[in-house]
Amino acid sequence: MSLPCPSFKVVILGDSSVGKTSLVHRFTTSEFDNQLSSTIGAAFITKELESSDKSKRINLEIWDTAGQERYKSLTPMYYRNSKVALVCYDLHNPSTFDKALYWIDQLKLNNETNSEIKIYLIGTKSDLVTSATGPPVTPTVPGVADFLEMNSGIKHFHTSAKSGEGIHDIFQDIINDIPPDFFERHYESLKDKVVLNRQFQGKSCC
Amino acid sequence: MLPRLTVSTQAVTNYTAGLPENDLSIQTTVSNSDLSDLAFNGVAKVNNTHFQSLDIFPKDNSSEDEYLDKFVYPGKDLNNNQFNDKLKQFFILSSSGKPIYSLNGGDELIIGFTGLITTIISSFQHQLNEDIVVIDSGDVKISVLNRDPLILVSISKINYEMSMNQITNDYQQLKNQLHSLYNYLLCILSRPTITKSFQNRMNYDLRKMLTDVDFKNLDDMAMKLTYGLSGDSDNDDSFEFFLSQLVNGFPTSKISYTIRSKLNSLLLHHRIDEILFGLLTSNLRRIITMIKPKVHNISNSDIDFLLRIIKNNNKNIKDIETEDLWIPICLPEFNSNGFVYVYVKTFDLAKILVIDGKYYEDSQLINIVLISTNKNNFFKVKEMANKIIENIIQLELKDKLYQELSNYTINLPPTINHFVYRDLKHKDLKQCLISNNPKDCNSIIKYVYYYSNLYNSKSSTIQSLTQESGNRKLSYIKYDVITFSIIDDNYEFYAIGSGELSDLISDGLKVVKWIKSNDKRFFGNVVKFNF
Repeated sequence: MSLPCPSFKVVILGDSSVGKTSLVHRFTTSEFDNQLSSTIGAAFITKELESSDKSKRINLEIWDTAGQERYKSLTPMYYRNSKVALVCYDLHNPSTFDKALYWIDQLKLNNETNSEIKIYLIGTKSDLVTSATGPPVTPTVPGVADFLEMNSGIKHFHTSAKSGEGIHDIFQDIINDIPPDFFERHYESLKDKVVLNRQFQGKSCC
Repeated sequence: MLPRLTVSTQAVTNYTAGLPENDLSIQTTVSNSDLSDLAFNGVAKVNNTHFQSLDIFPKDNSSEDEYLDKFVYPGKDLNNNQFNDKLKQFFILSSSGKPIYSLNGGDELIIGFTGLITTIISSFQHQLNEDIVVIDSGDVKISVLNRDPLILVSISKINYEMSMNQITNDYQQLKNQLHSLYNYLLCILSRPTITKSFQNRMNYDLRKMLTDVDFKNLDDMAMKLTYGLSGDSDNDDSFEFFLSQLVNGFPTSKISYTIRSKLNSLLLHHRIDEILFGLLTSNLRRIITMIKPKVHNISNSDIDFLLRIIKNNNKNIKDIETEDLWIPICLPEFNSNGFVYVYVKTFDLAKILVIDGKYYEDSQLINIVLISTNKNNFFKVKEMANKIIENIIQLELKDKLYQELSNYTINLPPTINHFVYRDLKHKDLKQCLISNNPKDCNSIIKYVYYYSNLYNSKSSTIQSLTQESGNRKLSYIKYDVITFSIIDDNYEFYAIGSGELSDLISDGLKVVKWIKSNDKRFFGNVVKFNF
């Protein structure tokens, strides 16, 4: 019997123009558009995801938020109830890392009062780096290494929405990290509902 | 010193500029019964004139594309001469003179202007305690809208923008353009945000709050409001936008009354408390149905901005049907002090219709736009939208709805090339019906020219105290085509055609009659509820 798979909320945060929408679109459509313009407000996108070993399936619900300052007051609504936050910064623009730190602080504050959100730090636009000679070098944004050392619970990925690098890996990591009891609880509750429904139908049937 | 500087809200209009005097006849008032008896003669039937041969813009021997590039299309990276060639300029600056937006040129080029403008404005304020509105130096009109802490300015060298509207005795079109740009900023920022930004520092850079999209939208609006052309060569609905702004009516769609009422009741039935306004639109362009509270109104301009902002956002997204949008927006004419939260879901009607085991090929996008007062209730609103979609899927008439939306063609009598009918009967939403739109630049510019002159030439409707139906009013202007308007208490009808004027009028009245007999299919698609 195929039951609907559980929903799993992910919120994407970060400064404007770091490539949040490009990352989501790469993941959902496997395409890249150089010409994307800024998101207004936020977009809510759903996509089914299966783990590589096919043992788990979830219905990802992704909040793609606007990075602009003027939308800041709305953001708490997006990360409320989210299980994972992808906090993005542009590997070529160190100042965007400061903004990422700001969001991480906000999420930690939220974690104290609400359920735990798992934080991923995502460096974007890794394709933009090419050294004149030799193989491409990934830039190091000052402070990132120290930050990761001090926050061992936060995973770090380098991605490129253009080449696709790292994007599949993030979402596979997310699904692999979900504890089995999350699925057990979901399917248990569904079974209860089915049983209830059957009972209900049994009574109302004429 | 500026030569011949006159502040002219009352200046005499140079209306006939560029038109042969003897070909121009305007404002003939006739009563109801007289219309069919009118007889006029001597009309050329040629209708393939190029806009460059009309006196709309300065003469220049370049090809159409070169001409448009040189004089019309905006450019940011221009030298001084290229900048001065442009026929229209728009600036937005702060009260202290800091540039925020310019249709053409970069900061270095416009900084001189902004300094001059702020000086003129403040000297008028200090000496006369008045806001300057228009500076008229003959061939150039500079209009100003002072909305402290912002100043909006346009400079026009365009023939059809030189004339004053003869009812309002005002440069209505130029004024409306500046109001529109200002309202756009209010839409995305709201008034308190703008005021607060400048409270601490007069030289605050408002551009920090704006994105690339906003500048694109401003360019796009400036171009559409001036020329009826889009900022990015996609002229699909640009003329329609110009015309609906000119006559102040939102374009309607033709849908049978049964389907419309069905959809209306769907919206009403599923409405949750915090939904203030709800709209079903076709491709974010025409309103299919709308629900609104009895006590609140949403203006045309607010709807226009809302749909335009969503539409430009959606251009980005390939697979729009998989996304739900949640957009904070200020509806400046509804309440410029706060935000509402707009939920948008788009679905393709073609994908839920199966005829003989096949889907329709051409997509027909329908948008559910729900305006909520509560920023945290996205999921409840989403649920409401899902129920509406489910119900539309079950709707027996969905096939007919698809046909009606995709076959939006209006058959015209041979004498009439184009018309716009503005309904004045239904008060909840000002709507208009526009016949099929020109898409090529040449026709668009010509039509913008014709309609601007026609609209500005009309005089006010004369209220009749004795006759129940009131008087009709006719205005016309002859070029190689004839443009004419027929206006009474219930409608305004503007059209472009060729042939004998008397034929045009009787054909125009036939169109009006046909629209009136289809009134329920075109208008009155607003349902009110107790809020």
